[in-house]
Amino acid sequence: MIAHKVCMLGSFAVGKTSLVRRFVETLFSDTYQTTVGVKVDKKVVDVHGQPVTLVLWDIQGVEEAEPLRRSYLRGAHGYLVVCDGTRGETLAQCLEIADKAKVSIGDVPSLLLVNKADLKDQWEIPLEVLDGLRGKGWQILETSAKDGQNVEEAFQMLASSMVSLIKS
Amino acid sequence: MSDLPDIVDQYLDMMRLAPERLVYVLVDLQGNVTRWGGDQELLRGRRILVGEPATDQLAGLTGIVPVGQSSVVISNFEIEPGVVVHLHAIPSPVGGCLLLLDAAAEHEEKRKKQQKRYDEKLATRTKHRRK
Repeated sequence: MIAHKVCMLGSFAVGKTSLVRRFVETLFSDTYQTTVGVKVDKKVVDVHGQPVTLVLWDIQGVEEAEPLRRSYLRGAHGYLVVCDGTRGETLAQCLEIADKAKVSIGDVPSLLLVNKADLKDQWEIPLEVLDGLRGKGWQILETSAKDGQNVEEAFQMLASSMVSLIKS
Repeated sequence: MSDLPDIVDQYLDMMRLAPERLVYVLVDLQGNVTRWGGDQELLRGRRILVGEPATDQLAGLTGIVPVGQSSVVISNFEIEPGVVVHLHAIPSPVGGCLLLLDAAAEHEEKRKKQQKRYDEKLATRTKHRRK
């Protein structure tokens, strides 16, 4: 079976671990538990009738001005970069992280996830800003690890893109 | 620790590492396991099959194996549920060596400190926003 390494990137406390947990175990906890280093999980998804193993690298969130460790990205087939809709500054950090990832591993499939869509009334990221990014070619999904909104879809979209890239 | 392959002995010596518990996995250029050993309890008693791809047995090695030309270190790597190691991938002309050094105790210590720091940062941010 084909295995693809997927990195979860973003600032701390944006919900990377919760997204993985929702996707792999269909569970959610409101309690924030920080990740140190890397935590690996896996899940098999179906892409056009073909089973594909996603090996998920849930990577410790970065803080402001902290470099992205290139060793984490080694051999990655794709990545999800996650920001927290309720913390506007995490979007800028996301864009910076994505730029660094591109330099490090090239133009592999990626998606920008704006998480905490269940708290949309508290969002600090204007929807027009996201539309602007979409116009620049970003693939963006609004997700909620809490209620599951677009979580399955995000991983499935990334898996399809990774498989298509390998086939081409 | 006795009976360690030369590549492991030399690496530990060069890096001045003296781990209490370790597992080593030697792989060929295709990423198949050629030999392994060390403290099996570190992997919670699971056995590694020689001749089989390393990534089929430890999924977290996807992207790391085959080892390639350059070494890599992944600190605080929860490679399997509850198994936290510092992973060192060391290239060799015949494939490479994966060295898994026990990091469970220090990982929990770091996690507690980081949790406290991030909780404080989030609380400070919330306080400022309310003003």
